[in-house]
Amino acid sequence: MIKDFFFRTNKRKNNSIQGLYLFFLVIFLFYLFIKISDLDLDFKFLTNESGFALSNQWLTNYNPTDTRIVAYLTGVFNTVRLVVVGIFLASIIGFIVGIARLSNNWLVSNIATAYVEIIRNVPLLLQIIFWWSFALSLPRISEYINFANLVFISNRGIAFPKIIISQLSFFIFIALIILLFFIPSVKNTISSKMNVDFSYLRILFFGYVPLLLVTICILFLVNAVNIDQPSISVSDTNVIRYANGFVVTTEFIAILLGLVLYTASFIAEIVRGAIQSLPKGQNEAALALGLTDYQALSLIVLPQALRIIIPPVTNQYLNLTKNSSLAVVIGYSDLFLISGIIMNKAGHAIPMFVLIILTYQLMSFVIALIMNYFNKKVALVGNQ
Amino acid sequence: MISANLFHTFKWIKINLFSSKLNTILTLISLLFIFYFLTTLLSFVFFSAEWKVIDTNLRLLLIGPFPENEEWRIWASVYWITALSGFSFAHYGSISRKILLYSFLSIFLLMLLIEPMSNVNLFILSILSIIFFIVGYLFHSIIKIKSIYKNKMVLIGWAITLPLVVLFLKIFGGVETTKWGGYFLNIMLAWTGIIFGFIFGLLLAIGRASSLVVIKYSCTVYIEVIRAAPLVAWLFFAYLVIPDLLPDIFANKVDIALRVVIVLSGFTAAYIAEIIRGGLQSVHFGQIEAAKALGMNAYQSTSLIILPQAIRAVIPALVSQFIALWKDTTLLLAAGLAFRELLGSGKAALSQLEFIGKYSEVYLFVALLFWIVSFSMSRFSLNFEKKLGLNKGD
Repeated sequence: MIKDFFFRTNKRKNNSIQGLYLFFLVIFLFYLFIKISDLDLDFKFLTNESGFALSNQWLTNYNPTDTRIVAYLTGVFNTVRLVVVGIFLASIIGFIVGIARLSNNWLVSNIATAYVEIIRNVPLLLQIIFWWSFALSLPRISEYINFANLVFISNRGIAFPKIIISQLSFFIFIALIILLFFIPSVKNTISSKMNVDFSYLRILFFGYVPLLLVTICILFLVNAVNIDQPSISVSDTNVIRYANGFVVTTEFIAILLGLVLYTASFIAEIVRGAIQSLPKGQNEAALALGLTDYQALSLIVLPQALRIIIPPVTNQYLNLTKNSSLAVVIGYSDLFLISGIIMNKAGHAIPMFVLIILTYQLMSFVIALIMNYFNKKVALVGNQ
Repeated sequence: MISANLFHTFKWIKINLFSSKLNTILTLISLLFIFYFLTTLLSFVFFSAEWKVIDTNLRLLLIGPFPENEEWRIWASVYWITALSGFSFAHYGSISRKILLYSFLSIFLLMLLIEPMSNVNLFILSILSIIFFIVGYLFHSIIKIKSIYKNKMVLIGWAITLPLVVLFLKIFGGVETTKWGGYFLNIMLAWTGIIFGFIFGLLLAIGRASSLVVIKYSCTVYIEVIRAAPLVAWLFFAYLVIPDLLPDIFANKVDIALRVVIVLSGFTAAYIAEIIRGGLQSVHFGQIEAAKALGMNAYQSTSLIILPQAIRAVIPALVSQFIALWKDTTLLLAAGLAFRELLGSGKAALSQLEFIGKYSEVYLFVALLFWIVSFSMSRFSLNFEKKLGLNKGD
């Protein structure tokens, strides 16, 4: 509608404006084309040996003799890991803080407000560097802190026990998770046949959880599941490092803390705004019907607020994805850091930039796709 | 009287802190948390922290490698701005005295923090800026002209401030931009970025809403490509690729600061264009038809009817984008540029041998300097919204 109006004078004038613009655009693009064609534009350099080592890796088994593609993929996986964990934690903290800001309790709401106002007004990069410095100031690995031989803390990172799962038990766990989705239908059959209305929670706690525990115990007994305790090893050359267990590196902790706390403060504002924008009568009606505070929040207020929350929160997830590139400052080998190393070693900046943009765009696309699915689901629930 | 007050206090405490079991537990946990947090923070700030690192590096943090005998350029800019602020404060008298008091108080506290006696020069020069503020304030009441002219004076004054500051920095030899640094560089970058980003973003938004296909799609492509990659990547791009793409005459001659400003404003413009597009969509079609019916042409209706309403609707989003730009000026450090903005200066200060490991002091100070600006920007936007009556709807 608006677009019909801009420049709506007469056709000839429009065409002449457009023609002039097109003329300059074509000249500009032609110039760029000539300039760029001087440079090397193919992606062959990615198949060469990379020749640099990386401290963080996940899913790929990378070593310096691999090609640059493998190095880049390692970076992509590192970014994905960071983004997935970050989005998960940021959403949880953001929701809690957002709800806490509206709490009846004066102290709680003010603590939440202070958190939001402090964190979101300070540059993310500063926060990441602060957490990094903090993590580096932990005791050195030779003076590590040991919690009951299960958790080791030092400035090389935190080592947790690692659960090693055999193939058989992996499939059993998958089956158990799938079973979780059948609980509603189990509930329906039980209640229709026996004429008793079991609640979901009851089935979950008295049916599913014992099943899960028994399975885990059996798997333990037959040694299908093992716990790999972390330990510290000293090599002949006196190099001390974590030997076993699940090690979370210092860089990962720092960038994760920074990203999560920062994004959570924005999500908290979105949650608060969404809840406040609902008519007050909704909550009051729920309370008048005899629902508890928790029920009113989880059954009446949040489902409606979610419809408003999801689009802006999606935006925050995309921001988190792009902000993960700040990992470059503290040396967490995400895709941007590795592209930087490749550009420094091999040049080819323009193809590399195309690759970076495409990768970030792909990740944004996937996030947007998932969030759109949730958005539709929430909207449907509201319309029923 | 006292007992009645006490009664009200107890009632307030009962209602707000101990109304139910859950509330009581939450209150106790919060009290514990606040106690722990405050004792840690206060004992750090007043006892265990060694503020000497800030004291020694104050120059580095505030203006970076700016030559010492050229400092008058910065002070001249500061005085111009404070005098103008005084004038504006007097003009928009409705702004409460409270804000004024708070800002003076915070400046005073900041000065205490940097130990005035060890920096006597700095102390005197800062006091001068307050005097300039008062002079500007008084000047407003002394000159006897119509209020509408004073209005114009304020607007023109702020409009010429940025060119004037650049002039101060450049006349009589001037200081090359590679010598700019510290807090001052952050302010300059954010300021120019906001102004050029807004103008460019406005043009992009109008272009994207236009019915001319070529303009529309080229604007759309620009916006989407820029938004696809993080700002660090674009800064890196400016650093690595732009020299290759420039005509040979300009290559290596274009100032890095200029390149950074171009990237910052070009990046912000893409986001601002999207925000303004949202505003344009919120303008009711009847408004446009009414403008048509009054005989306005496209330019008139756009600039007088559509844009004012569109921008008014998105002021909060615009300001948060400006705040994001302000915080993003730290990214020069991430892009590996040879600039020492505030955060980079902080890192440099920490690399000095005697101050290794004093990161809490430095980053706390740096965070405070960033926080003051972003917080006051967000408060300003809140006040502005209230003034425009945007929040009255709900």
